[in-house]
Amino acid sequence: MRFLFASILILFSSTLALRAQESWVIDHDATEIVINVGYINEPKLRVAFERFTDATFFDPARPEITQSVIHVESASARSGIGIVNGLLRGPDYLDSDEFPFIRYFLRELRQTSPSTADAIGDLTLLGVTRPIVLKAEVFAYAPNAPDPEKRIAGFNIRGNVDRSQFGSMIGAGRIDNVLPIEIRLVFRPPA
Amino acid sequence: MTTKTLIWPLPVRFLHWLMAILIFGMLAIGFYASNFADEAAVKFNLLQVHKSFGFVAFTLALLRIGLRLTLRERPPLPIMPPWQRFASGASHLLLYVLIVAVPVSGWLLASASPFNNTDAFPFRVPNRVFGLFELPDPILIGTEALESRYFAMHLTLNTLLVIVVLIHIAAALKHHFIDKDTVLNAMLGRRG
Repeated sequence: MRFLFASILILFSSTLALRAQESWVIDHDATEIVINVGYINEPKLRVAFERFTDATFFDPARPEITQSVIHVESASARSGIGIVNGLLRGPDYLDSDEFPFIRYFLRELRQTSPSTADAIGDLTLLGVTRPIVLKAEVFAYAPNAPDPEKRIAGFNIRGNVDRSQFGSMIGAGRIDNVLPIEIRLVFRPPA
Repeated sequence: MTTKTLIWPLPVRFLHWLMAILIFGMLAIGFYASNFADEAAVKFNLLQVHKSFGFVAFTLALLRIGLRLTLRERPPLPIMPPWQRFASGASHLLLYVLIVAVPVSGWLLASASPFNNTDAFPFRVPNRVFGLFELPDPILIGTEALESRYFAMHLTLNTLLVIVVLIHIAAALKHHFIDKDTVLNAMLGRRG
């Protein structure tokens, strides 16, 4: 019995090690997470999130088994307008004191064409979790001829977040409920 | 006539060219922000710069008019037909009116914006000059209708300013290259 348990443990650990070895990592410097906020008669406000942590499994040979949990720091939201940054992070919007993280769980990358996939997952915003399907499109896959050393897999992931589903109702009618989200997700092999 | 009076005094020339740079810069920023800025942050930040330099332009315009009124000696005008003399006087007068009216209309436009109201949603945009101080607010309760009206006024005055400035430039070039007189050189600070 003890032998069986040990064997299972060794097998499980080696599987994990193999997965960890195979997995590429998210390049935080090249990855961008942006939400575009529409306000009546004004150009869209581009809100970028500068800090996040992640736990990811990505194997470029088998993208369909990709999984990722990304915790985005809500206090890292930046709009390019000083007075708006404080407002965004404040209790009326992202409430970063109460909800320091926005969580995105990418459960499955379901291929829809050679270069596109549905990113199926869950989004937790303001403490509310809802399923979300985003559209992923490959924008870069290397090694390539000009720089064979450079290996990269990049996805543009787009979709919409209906903030009202997460209980955010402030400014309804003036601030759009449906907010386009854009994630430029870049993977690199582990160093 | 002394050689001293063949060119405009340094403060006049300095203000003239500074105003020229400001006018073109402000027109470019305002035009781009209103028509091509497709991101709120870009438009917002450009318009804050535009408003701040608008205040500078207004202050310099008053200085320039003050200087013009108090100036005792000025370069002589070349011999011109009466209609040209009249056109020159009228366009300069219009230019002086516009360099004051344009920033004032911009100030009214900014003040008429609902974003300038004390209870503005989602945030108030005060009319600050380079973040240093806030301009008085002549229109306490701004509305979109008022803002549209003042925007039309600001746009019309700017269009007029562009036309007058283009005429001004064309006339200066004509004096320099066709009439070969000293009008442009007097403002460039070149004697002879």
